[in-house]
Amino acid sequence: MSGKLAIVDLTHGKTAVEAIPERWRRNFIGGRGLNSLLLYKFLKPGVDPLSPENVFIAGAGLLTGMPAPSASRMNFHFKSPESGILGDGNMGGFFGAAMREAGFDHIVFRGRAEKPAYALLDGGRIELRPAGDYWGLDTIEAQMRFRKDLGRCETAVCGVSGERLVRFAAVRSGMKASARCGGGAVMGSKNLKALAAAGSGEVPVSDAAGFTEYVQSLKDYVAGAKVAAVLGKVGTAFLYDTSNAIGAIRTKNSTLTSWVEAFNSKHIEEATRKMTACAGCYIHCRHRNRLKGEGPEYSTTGLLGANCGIEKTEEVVELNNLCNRYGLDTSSAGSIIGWAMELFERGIIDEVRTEEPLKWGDFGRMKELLRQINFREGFGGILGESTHAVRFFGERSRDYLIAVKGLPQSDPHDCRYIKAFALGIAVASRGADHLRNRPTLEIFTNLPSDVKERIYGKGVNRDPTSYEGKAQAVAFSDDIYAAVDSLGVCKFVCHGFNSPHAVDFGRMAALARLGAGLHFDEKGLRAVGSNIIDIERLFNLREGVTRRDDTIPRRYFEEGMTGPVTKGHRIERAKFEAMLDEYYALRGWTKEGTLPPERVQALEGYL
Amino acid sequence: MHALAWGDVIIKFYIPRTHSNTVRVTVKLLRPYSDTAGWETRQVEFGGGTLRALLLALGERFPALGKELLGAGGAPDEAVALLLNGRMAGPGDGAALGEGDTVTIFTPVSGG
Repeated sequence: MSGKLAIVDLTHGKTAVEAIPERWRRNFIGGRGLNSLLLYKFLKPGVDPLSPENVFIAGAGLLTGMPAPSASRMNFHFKSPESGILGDGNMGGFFGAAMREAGFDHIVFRGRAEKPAYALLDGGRIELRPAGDYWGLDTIEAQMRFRKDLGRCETAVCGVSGERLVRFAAVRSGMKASARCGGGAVMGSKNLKALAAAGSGEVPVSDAAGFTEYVQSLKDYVAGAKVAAVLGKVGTAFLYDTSNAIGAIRTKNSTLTSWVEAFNSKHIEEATRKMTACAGCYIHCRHRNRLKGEGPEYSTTGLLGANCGIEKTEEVVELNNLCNRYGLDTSSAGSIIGWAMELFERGIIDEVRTEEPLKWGDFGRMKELLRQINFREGFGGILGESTHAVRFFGERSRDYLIAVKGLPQSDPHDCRYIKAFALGIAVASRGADHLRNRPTLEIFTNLPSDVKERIYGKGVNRDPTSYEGKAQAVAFSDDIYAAVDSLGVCKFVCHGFNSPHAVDFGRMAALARLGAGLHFDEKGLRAVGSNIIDIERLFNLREGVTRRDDTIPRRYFEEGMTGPVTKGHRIERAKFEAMLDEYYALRGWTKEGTLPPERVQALEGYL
Repeated sequence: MHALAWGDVIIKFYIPRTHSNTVRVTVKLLRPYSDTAGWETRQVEFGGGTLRALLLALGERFPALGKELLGAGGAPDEAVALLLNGRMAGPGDGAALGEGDTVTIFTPVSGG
């Protein structure tokens, strides 16, 4: 627990290093939780996300870099240029561990460097160095160049897309990404090309012997789960097939919810060279593909594929690799291009705007559009505005946008069938995102009712299409995912994300105690999850979010699904509003979705 | 309960059974189960009964698949998800399968 917090003033080239107060650790842990507190503390309300007044925060999880199960993860936080509210991305790979080995758990970047710069982290020091030679390089070229110049190091970089302020530009490290919400554009706006961690220190473990013994027993439990074995063997792409089979895959901007059988994950696996893993991972879910990239994963397969009408799976591998090289969030890229394709088909935009016809499944055009987005050229320059492109397309275009709070939906799973999923994306703190609170166990129709009750509490209807009790499932998932994100542990080993077993609050508490000397009981750890959800809500309320923003795309209310199992399903407005009431009550929020004054006071007391 | 449709009538009364007490259904496996079994779609005859009985019969006939579908003590694994004629279903659902039913078996895991 000895890692430090650094505050880097890019404008004046100064760095201050501080210890992390214990009250922050006890109430927000690290990673996403502590980053959210720091974002609330350091950002003034209402600033332009692409101005120097925004902050860019890197934060490693409490267990990141320790030999805990799949504990590689870290977060970048900022005000999102895509949504205008809380923005963050969670990333695996090796940078989080390297950052801690260099002596830092959290770093807050403020201001804007006069010229392109990068931050070198080494031995508890941060040095700002000129990055003119790296400016203009894509995410792979830049990282290779840093390795050549600095020797052994881990880097987190933005690509040209970040430099040119594409609103869904990602931060990339190795082959991984912190993709969501436009962190790459915030880096670009600050003239910050990269963070390079060259440390060779160690991440201290509080009770090394006890931790090792406990982790060993946990390893067998986690790695022995069937889910872990499946993901390690075939990765996530096959999950696309499952969503397609039940007719819940977002297709052609959600005008359809199932897609041609010829488009499937088998071809993706044919392009797989080997499976790879992040630091300390038991799962190794990632494909290294024959085109020298990684992926595509399930979300990318759906959104750059079915959502844009692509019929050949191998084309998605190429589109995925392009997005990664450019440093673009594949979820936003696929959502925004699919949206534009529908607008063109409906005549809401025409060739005067798009320069050339825009047709479903036009692989060549998609490749060119991704290039244009990266360089902010032509029509791609407008698409690089993400949901802000409504400004160019007109108010009618908003009706066809699959986004919440300005963030395109991350998951290619259509939310009209499983009602809890719809509530989840409506209330997620960074906009339409499944990684905040998706109660995946809703699909486990074979899960006995008593097991489900033990997890979520009484009253959650077994039927995924029922609205009854679903707010409980979302609120539970909110809290446990916030806790696991803050520990730096991957959701693939988190209880409730893919399995009713895995690392639950009790096991998290044991890991925090043995790894970092922090004592929680299960209830206390869930309360920390709640703190994190509430500080994120407080940030968004301060930025102007209201109950009206906790909603879902119009199409999900008004149009039925088209798939074999899901045909005709949609979300009923009155029942959705009742779920929202129930959710607010469970969270202790008011009927308007605000926090009671005493709760605000308590949270601000932690600052 | 739902009204009997003409399709149900045809399936239940006019498709001849292969021999007494056995029921023939179409089983579709999604991945990873299709990888384990080495097939995706098959007509399967079994002694009749619920989805649970079908899973047990599949476990007997295809032992490698059975290890995936059935947990300790031979009970259907909780990580098995089922569609019966295109509707979500659980192995504990009471109704007996009918001749010509289609059962899809998949895993409810979802991606990140």
